[in-house]
Amino acid sequence: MDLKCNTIQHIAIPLIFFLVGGGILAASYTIGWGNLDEPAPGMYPAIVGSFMIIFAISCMHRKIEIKKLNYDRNAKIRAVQIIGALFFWCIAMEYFGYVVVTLTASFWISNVANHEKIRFALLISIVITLFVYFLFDFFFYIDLPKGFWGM
Amino acid sequence: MLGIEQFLNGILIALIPVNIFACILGVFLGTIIGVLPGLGPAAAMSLLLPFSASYGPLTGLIILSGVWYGAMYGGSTTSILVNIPGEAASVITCIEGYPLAKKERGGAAIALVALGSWVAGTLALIGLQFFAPIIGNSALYFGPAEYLFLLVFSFIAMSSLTSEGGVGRGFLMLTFGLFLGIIGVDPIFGIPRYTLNQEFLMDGINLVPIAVGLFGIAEILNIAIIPIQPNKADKIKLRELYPRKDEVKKSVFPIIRGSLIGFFCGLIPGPAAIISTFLSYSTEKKISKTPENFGKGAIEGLVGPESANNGAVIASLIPLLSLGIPFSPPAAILLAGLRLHNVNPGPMLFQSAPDLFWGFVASMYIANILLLILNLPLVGIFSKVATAPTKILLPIISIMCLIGGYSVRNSMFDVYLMIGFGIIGFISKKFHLPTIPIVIGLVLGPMLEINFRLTLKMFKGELSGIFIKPIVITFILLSIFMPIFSALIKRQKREIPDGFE
Repeated sequence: MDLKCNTIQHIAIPLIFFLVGGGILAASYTIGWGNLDEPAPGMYPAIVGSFMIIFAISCMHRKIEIKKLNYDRNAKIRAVQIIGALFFWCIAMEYFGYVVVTLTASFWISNVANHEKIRFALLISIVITLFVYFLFDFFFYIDLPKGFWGM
Repeated sequence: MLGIEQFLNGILIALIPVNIFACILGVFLGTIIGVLPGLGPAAAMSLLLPFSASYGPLTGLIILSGVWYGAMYGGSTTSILVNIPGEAASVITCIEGYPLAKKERGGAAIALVALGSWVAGTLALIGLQFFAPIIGNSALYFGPAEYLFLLVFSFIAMSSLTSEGGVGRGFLMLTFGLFLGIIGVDPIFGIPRYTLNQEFLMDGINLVPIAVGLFGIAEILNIAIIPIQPNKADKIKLRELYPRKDEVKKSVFPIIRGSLIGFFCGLIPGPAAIISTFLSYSTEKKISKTPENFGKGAIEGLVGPESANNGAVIASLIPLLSLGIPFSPPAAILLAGLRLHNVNPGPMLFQSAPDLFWGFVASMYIANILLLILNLPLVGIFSKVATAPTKILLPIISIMCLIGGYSVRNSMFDVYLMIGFGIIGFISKKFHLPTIPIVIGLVLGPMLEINFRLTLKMFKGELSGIFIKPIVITFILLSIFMPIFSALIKRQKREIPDGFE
């Protein structure tokens, strides 16, 4: 069942697009629009930015419903933890390499999904890490980051 | 025009061991991924795109299209056995297929769906063989103005067909995608635009991290918020795969009708597979002498839409191969795959790379047969995969997405971008904002800009000269007609029972 959202929520998303469209339009002016005979690199972005503004205004006219999701209290925490694990993978990869970081991230994510079976989560993360490592490094010849200890 | 000689040559190319292997791999991987609730064909193809580049253009194309085709089939298996649509086009399959599974006719339902898919796929391939070269030859008469208005028509069609609560939202997301396509270096003058003086933006925004983010990471977050509780799938024995005579009899005409509906829907820009399933379902319900059975396991309501689904997938390759314009995200990813090999689909494909086209067509016939042969006996395995718990699914999909995003350009920036768009995709779903137009805008935006600027230069600002061209007028009329067509489609969708939106 969808809920009608309040005024702030239904304006926020189109407003963001309105501002982005305005920014695109403003930046396109500095690039240069040219004319219809000789369009400059800024003309097409100006058109895109203008349309973005127009459609953003049309969306403000119509309320955007928020989909009501049946989730439990910890749902938001789970989502934040997943995002955290993904960013951890990106940041730590350069220093610690694929094997260690992927093992940690996949254990974290598996634990988020079900934190009752720690050993199972650890087993899953080991299997995934090694399987993907061999698949990509030996089969697809894709170099995975090695980190400072070479793996 | 059927090109019998070229087709026979294509069969020889398709029977090369590496291409057979690519076919089997693509179809099998696609089915596995299609069975997993969460990853759809677009995300699956994006993940495998960098790996398909390790092979030649034809082999890479075979892998990617096998994944696409297999994913559509795999989605129907999950829908029938555990009532979870593997991807959006399988919603109807849940409505009619799962009640059949509860009546212990799940095996027969899967067999009939496989058969219907094979028939639809074969008919669509014949259509592809016939129409693609014709359309390709006609497109030789297309100039920049014609391509410009073809693209405008495509955008109008896609935005009006994909947006749930208003056309404005579809267009809004499309403009966002068009903007993403602008970032980078200007294609004509070579000056940087919207790069914020960052070197990693000079090459522009790559499609793969965006697609994996919007379709893969967003799904991961959805699964994390609402963990999937799959129903237990009943074990299917091989002998249970045989449908009864009356079931086969009831399936014949729906399969043929579905194949035709799917084929023509595949030629229209937009989510062809989804549209074709809804159109076919409402057609079967209207024609049926027992419409009260729909929603309770009507075989006609199952096989017709599934045939339409598969027919649409193959038919959507026609505009891609003959015009070089993808009408859906999976087709856009196929295009990206071809460009990785410096192959530009379009009218010149049939002259410059006929072996690629005919080898590909022949491989699709093989893939079609493989789906029938491989997947029926393996239905037990696929149903086990479909009921995999979240604690196994989540880390596997997450790691695959991360590696897929990284391996495009070996750049961590792409991974950050992917995660960012995953969050955008997740929020967009909550606010009923469609994400397909973003991908289409990103892929087709550069083509739109070049044709726009060339058109202006050709006509030296005299725009009236553009609107007397017959092909341009045709596309303008189609663009006007498209919102009416989309309103009709949305009315058909309202016939779907509650609970499946």
